Amino acid sequence: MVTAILAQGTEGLAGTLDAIRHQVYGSDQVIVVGGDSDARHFAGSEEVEWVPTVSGAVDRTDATHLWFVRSGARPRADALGALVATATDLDAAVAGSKILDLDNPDRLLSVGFATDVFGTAFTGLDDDELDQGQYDVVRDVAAVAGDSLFVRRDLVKGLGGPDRRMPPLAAAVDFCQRARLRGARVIVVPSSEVLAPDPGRRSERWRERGSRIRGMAKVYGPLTVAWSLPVAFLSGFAQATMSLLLGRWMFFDWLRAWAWNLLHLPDTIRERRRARRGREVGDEELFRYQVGGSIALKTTATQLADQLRRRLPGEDTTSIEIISRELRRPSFLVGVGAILFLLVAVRSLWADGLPAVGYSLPFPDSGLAGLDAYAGGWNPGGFGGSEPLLPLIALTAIIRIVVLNSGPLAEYLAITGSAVLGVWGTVRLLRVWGVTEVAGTMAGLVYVAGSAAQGLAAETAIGAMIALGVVPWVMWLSLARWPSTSLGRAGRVAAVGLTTGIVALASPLLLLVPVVALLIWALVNVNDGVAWRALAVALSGVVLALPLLFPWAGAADLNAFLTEGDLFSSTSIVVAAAVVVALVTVVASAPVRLARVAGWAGVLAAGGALVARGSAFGAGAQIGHAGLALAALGLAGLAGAAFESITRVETAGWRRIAGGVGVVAAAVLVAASSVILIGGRAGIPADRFREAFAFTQARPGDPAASRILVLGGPGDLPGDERIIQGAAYRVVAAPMAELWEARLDGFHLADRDLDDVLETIIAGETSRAGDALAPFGIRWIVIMGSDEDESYAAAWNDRLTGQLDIVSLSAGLANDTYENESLNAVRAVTPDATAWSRVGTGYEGVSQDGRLTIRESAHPRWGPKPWIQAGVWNEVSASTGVSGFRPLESRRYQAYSAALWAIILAGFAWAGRKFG
Amino acid sequence: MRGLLAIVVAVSLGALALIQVEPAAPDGSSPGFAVPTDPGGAIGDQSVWYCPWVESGAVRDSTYDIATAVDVEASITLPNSNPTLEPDTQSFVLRGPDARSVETAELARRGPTPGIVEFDDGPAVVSNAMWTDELLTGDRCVVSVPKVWHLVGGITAEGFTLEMRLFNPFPEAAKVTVEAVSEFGSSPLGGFEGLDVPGRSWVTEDLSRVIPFLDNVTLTVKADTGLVIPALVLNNQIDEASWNGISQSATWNFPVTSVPGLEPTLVLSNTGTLPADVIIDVFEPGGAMLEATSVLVSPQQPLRLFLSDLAVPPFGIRVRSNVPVGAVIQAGPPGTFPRGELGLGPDDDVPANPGEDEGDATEGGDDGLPVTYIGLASTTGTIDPATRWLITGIGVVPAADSSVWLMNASGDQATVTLIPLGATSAGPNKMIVAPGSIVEVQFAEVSETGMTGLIVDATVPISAGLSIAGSRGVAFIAGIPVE
Repeated sequence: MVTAILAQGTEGLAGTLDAIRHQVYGSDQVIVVGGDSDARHFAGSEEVEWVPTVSGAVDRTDATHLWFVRSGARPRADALGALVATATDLDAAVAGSKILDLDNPDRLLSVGFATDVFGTAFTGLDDDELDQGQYDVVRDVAAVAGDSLFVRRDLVKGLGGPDRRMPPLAAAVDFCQRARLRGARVIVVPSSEVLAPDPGRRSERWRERGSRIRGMAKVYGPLTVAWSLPVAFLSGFAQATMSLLLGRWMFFDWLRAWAWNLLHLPDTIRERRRARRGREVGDEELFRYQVGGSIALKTTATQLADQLRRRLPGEDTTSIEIISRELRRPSFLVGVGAILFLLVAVRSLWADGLPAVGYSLPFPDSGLAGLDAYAGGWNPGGFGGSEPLLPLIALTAIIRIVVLNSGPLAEYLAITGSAVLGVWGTVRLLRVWGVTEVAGTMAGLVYVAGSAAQGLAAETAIGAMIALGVVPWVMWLSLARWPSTSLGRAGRVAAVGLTTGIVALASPLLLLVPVVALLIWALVNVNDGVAWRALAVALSGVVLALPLLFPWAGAADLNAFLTEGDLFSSTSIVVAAAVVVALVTVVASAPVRLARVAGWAGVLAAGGALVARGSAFGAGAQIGHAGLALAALGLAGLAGAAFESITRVETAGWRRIAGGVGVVAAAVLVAASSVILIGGRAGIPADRFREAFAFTQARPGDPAASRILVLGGPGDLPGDERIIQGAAYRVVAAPMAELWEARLDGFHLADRDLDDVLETIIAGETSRAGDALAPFGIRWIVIMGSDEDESYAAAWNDRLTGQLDIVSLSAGLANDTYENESLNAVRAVTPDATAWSRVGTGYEGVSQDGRLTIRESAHPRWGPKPWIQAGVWNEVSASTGVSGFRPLESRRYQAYSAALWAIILAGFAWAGRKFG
Repeated sequence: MRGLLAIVVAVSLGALALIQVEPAAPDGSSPGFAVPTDPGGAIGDQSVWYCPWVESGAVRDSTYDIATAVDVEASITLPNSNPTLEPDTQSFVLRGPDARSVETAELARRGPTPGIVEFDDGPAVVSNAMWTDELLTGDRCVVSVPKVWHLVGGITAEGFTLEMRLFNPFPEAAKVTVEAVSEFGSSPLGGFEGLDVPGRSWVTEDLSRVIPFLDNVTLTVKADTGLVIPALVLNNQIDEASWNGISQSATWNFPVTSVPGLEPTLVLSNTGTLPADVIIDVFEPGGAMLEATSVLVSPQQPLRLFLSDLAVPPFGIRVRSNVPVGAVIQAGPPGTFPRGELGLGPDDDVPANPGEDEGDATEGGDDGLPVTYIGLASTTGTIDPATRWLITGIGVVPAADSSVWLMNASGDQATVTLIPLGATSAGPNKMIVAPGSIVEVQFAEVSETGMTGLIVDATVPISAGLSIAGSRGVAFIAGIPVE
């Protein structure tokens, strides 16, 4: 018999060695395994052998069994004897001890584990459960604690010992799983008692989580791995989301766990081969000792329920006084209410994703393709071009990749996550100014759902809606307590830069919103150095964020970006009146700090409203979006200050009356926010294009091989539109226009030709519109009607009805729809009329000796070579079966640099927070 | 103080925001689509012509007669009544100016064969002629496709058969509503509301059974969805006349109204709400008889005028009205058309029934007697005179005489150049058409001349038309102005 002490430094080592030396059943040899040089010196001083690894210990002995004891554990004197006797009697290959708390020996820590399919250990014990012999039965278990592990030597040798990359608990579970896979019996022997330090909540650390994933990948069969790993991914995300309500930020743990596994994937694959070689049982044997569902999720849900229960008044606390106290304190209930409000407000997005209307279009079908197109690739808007895509495309692509390319989920998370972040960020921001959680939460709702936010949604400004959620965080980071160390300060500025960058990626002009808001705050608090410092930090953040906007910022026509489109936000007179009343009453009645918050908010709301009606003086839609974001901040600030002021004891007498009026006005702002509950689309108008274009998928052939010509009146079409004789038109990809098509590329030769063809159709100079449109890849024509003005639809219909080669498909469809009967109405075609399919922004088809005509705007970077310009289109070789646009190198490098810069900022932010 | 300042600034900004006025939409609130030119005639661009009443089978022969002033690629498409079968098509190039007569049987010989003729350039025009041993008919094809058509001059009285063909050359199925007005006012047409006409197909309805015993019926065809091209076909057991739908106009010009042996009539229809005050100008070879008569055409009350009450044929007429009316010319042997109570009344200067003065007119002229014909003909008019016309279908019907009729309704003398088209070496021919007169130019069969078409160039705006007459019957074919 050899006893191996698994050392981690020298802490507790002496006690463990002493306990081993006092065992009734003596060991032939004691070896200290691992630890640093101190452990080695300690072993030398105690005249016991030291080896660096478990395999070394195995090699040093011929004993039949090994007893692993973790340093710090204190086995009772009969612990080993009980293990030897029981394991031998029951022919168990692995036996573990009952673990008791070293600080409170009556308290049970574990008597073997069950696990779930994700490898999470489940003790089945309550917190602080005392040992009264209630579990003193020898039984088979999924795993035993690694503090005391009695194992057959040949098994240890075959398995290679515990996984050195794993922390203790995960390593023990993993070892037992691998042992069981070899047909070994794993039991717990309660008569063998070991005292050990309470590991606490260490199982929630990212390393434990990552190790569990690694363990799954090692032991399970391919089928189980195929479903369990994705489920583990989603389960972890769900747990991280739910943990937000418990005030825990677990997203980084979750991401790090998966990133760590990706990094060690080759090693995991090697270990998997080793673990499964010579297996004698299948996954079913492992499942026998597992519990259903996710233990981590259940635990989090239980904790949430407990927290909710604690927050709810008891049977004897129905008095107004208790409720009032609840409202005066940070209120979990209000938080839950806000979350429920948001969930109801976005309920339709869960199933369908973003409604396809205006500039709100589904995220690109492939996240990787979206990133590729953004980083110097092809801009697929209209007939395509090389103009840079908006950074929003990169951001949405990343979100899509994170959620395993699920479009609706990515869209749901983008909008819902932004709204939740917006409420939460508003609470944090206003708390800096003395507004407590209840008022802050109400303000948060006004921020993400109030009149201004509704204006953004009505404009289908998806990017601005996403950015809105991060803006308060930029401000909070700028205003929060200034770190005392240089590293902390650098980290803080980096964090502001990173969050500002996220805002800018979603909606570039909104990166100025925190700066403008903080500038006004500094002017309102002109003698407050903190306010001016926050402004400086925010400005630094803008400077740091600018590189993240490349390659877009380097190639885009910024003047056009700022002036294109128009936005004239309508303002409800009721809301305007409520703002004025809240502003005047709060400024007049609230304590100074809150009065200044109200003043700041009032200026912001009014100024934002003015900017949001900027088309009156030539401002573009993007400027209008920034104005609405400013107005949203202002409305939130007013609501927060109003609700907070009434809770203050200083607000007494006439001030209380005035404050009450202010609260009523603020309540109007909150009530106005409830409008977004209608429809459940976060205020975004109802879907128009999904229904209008869905028919393409029911038509014969590959819809993605062709385009749709969309006609209608101005404002009726998806994204940008072109105007011809007062009516609107544009082409989109079938079967559905996607977000990266929302903005049209420049007016290229193909656009000019299409314009000419439409002029011909409008003038009634052709009776074969299908023939004329087929070379543009246009297989379908959809006329978007409008309830307000049918004249456009009627005019287009009038021009198309008498065409000889387009057939109406309108029966049963909501919109007037036509199909082109002409052949080759496809986007990419070979001379023998074989159509190629669109994949991302490129094309795939059957390779052949010949040429391929790609009906995208002519550009010499289309390939494979040789490329020639065929009229307004591209002609390339069809020999490889794949055709695509060769990215612009400079933009790609800029994109890489931006990504690297983001990582550097994140690193500084993390280091500053961790070590500063 | 700061609070007050903040309030002042906020309220000022808010007020400024509220007083901003939303910029007006630059393009207004409705599409600025130019109204497409309704050609009605040949245009100097690509065009599509629709010919609804054409048949080719064991009994009937027909031709698609094409004339062009420029090089064109022409394509004739004959849709199949069975939608699962491909249409019959023929494409060819004409080096303009040229004309060609394409026998329908070359493409298909399967009875009804309405067709579409497409030109990639213009001006180019199409007309049809159709005949059996016992009948002859024809008309110009139509190039514009309005939503509402008027079919004037229907007769369902005993001895007549009236059919209506609704030709839908477009892919989209059409749904049309047909309304009828007759001498008795509005006549209900059961089953003609929302009548389906499948795409690329046609429907032929026998109106004699639906609305029998009417002397004068006008049909209005409205397309609820899709578009159709309607035509009326009148048969009196001697001959057949066919004519296409028309729109309504305040002026109509008819250079051809009759051939020897036939009594010309003018049918007027007013589907508006105001009575139409109509003036008829008559143009004889010897001069004009302006305002020869005037009549009041009541709304919903079609009217037939017996033109031989005004003058001795041949003559052309011009119709002028204070409101848009529909008008067609119909000619048949005396006594063919029912005389209603609304005749013009005898004129002292005009024989009561000039045709009767001819005695037993006979066909042929070998015995030296004037040639007379027996048949039934109908034609639509042209709205405006023009300086250039394309006439097609000349001499295409075997054993029939073709005449081009030129009417100069202006006060100026017209110098007219006739340019033969087709496989002919004949050169242009010039002639004078005196102010307010008509001129008939006769042509032999195509087998003799090789020509099937004609370009008519005039120094002042005139009207032109074609008559084809022989032992089979008589057909009037309106000329087509070049716009």
